[in-house]
Amino acid sequence: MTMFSDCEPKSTGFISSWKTEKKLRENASQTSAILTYEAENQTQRPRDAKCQTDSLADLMKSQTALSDGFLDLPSLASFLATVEPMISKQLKINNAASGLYSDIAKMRSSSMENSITCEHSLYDDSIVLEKGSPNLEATNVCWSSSGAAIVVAYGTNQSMAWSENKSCICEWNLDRPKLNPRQADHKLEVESSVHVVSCHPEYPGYIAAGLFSGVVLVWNLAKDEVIYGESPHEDPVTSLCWLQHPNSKYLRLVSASTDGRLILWRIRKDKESSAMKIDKTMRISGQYLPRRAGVKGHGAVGVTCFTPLRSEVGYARKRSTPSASGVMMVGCENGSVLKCSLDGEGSNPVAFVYDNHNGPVYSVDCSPFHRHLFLTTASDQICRIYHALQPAPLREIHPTTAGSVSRHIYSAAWSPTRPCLLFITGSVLEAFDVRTACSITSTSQSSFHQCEVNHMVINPTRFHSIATACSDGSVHTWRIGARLVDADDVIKEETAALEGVANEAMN
Amino acid sequence: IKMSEVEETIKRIQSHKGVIGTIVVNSEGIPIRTTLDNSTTVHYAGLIHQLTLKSRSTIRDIDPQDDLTFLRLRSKKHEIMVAPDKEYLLIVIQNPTE
Repeated sequence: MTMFSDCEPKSTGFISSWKTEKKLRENASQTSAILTYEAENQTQRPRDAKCQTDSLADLMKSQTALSDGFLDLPSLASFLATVEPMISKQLKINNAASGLYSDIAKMRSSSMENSITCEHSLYDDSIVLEKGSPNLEATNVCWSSSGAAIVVAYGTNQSMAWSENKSCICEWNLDRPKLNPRQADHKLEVESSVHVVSCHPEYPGYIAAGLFSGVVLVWNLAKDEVIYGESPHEDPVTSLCWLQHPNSKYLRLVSASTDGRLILWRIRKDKESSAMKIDKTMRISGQYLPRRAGVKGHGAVGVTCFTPLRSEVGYARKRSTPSASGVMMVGCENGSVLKCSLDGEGSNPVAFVYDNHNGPVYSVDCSPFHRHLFLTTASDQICRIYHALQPAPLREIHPTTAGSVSRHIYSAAWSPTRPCLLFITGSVLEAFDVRTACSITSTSQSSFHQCEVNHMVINPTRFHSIATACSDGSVHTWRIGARLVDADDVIKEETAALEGVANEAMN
Repeated sequence: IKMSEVEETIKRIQSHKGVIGTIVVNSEGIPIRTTLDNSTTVHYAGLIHQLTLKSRSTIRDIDPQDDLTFLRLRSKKHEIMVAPDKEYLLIVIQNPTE
């Protein structure tokens, strides 16, 4: 047992041969004090310098002057003498036979008078290739003020939930000699699906956009900068419109959203990237609507579309300026059609309530020829024409033609040149006559490849051109036949007929 | 003296009914006399000069003995007449229905 007895070995210590004890010493360091000097500088003489490249006119003048020096006047005179008889003879012939050619021109135009033909088909390739996200739709289009460029909003109408998918706004200039329909000239990427775009009718650089996230932004194309609104809507922005600001230094934009609010924004015209300020906010609430509108309680009524009342009517609208009137025709999510005034005090804009549609109102447009007439389309697939002073609609157009399946009519607009003509889009683009409520002409069923047209706009300066945005992401521009645009021979008759339709409201 | 002769001929042509403008262009396509404003003149001169060269070479290619003597362009709005020569080009724009 003694084998495993406890033992306590003694500890021993030894001094390290290499480790020395640490010693601390105090030390201090101080950088030299920062010296400041004051100095002033003033240029004595201000000097201005300007530089300007030669204008074409100056260039021409100098060229003419240059060539004048070398000009062989006798030879020029003899040249003119030899060609003058030939030219004079031809000029006389032309004047005598002017009817000959005009007949040919007339014949050619009459052969395609009522047709609607596709001119351009635009489809930005980069839209499709975006990583696995649902295919982007073209949700909205807008023509620039000159009518030469087209701005397209991409996004999706499918996702009802909050989405983080990026989207974009594209711009094509159709007057370019080398138009690339598969790649936009300008592109702006934004953080959420774009629901609406609107170009300023006077200043071509400003493009307003409303996003699914509620954000309102203005893209200044000239400076390529984006101005955001100071606070967003709570729901998707559904409609935008430029108005005239009482102060000419500012631009005014109105945005509407399904949160029921109408916001008036103000943008300083020539100031660098300042945020858009809110001038006024108005809210359409259930308590302002009569019982027949079918809204209970004080909840907000979402706005889906609106259009300002035209301040002037008639054919000779040459220059497009933003509307000055604060009176709007508004379509709502619950089918209500309202007249709203943005000028009043307080937050209630509702001024008059029209008969309801069944389901959300998709578009509203005021007649360019009669100050009281406007049309609406809604998800009940009916296009109605209202008189502004009467709640009941004057006319109902059912664009459902035989054989077609469910057709939503997302967009309708009055013809800018013919008083009695409407364009309505569903799965086709159709022209309707108000007097008969019948279709005059339409594009073929297959022209949109079975997809729906989300939006349609008529060119503000070139009336023969219409743009449509499709749910497959493509944008088409259409040329309307001369018969549907030229109104010289029918304008009197049609204006009278439209007056007649409007007068039905009074009887 | 020669100067006024040139000007007078242009004035005579210009006095015909419906004539909108008259331009004389040299062989390089540079306008030397015009009754139109500068930008329109430059625009027309450049384009018509190109077209005339092309037309002339077309005629010559079809038959090397032949040559272009006169060119008329009828559009919906105007008629453009071009009288070409080795050194100069006379362009007259007319609106015949006026």
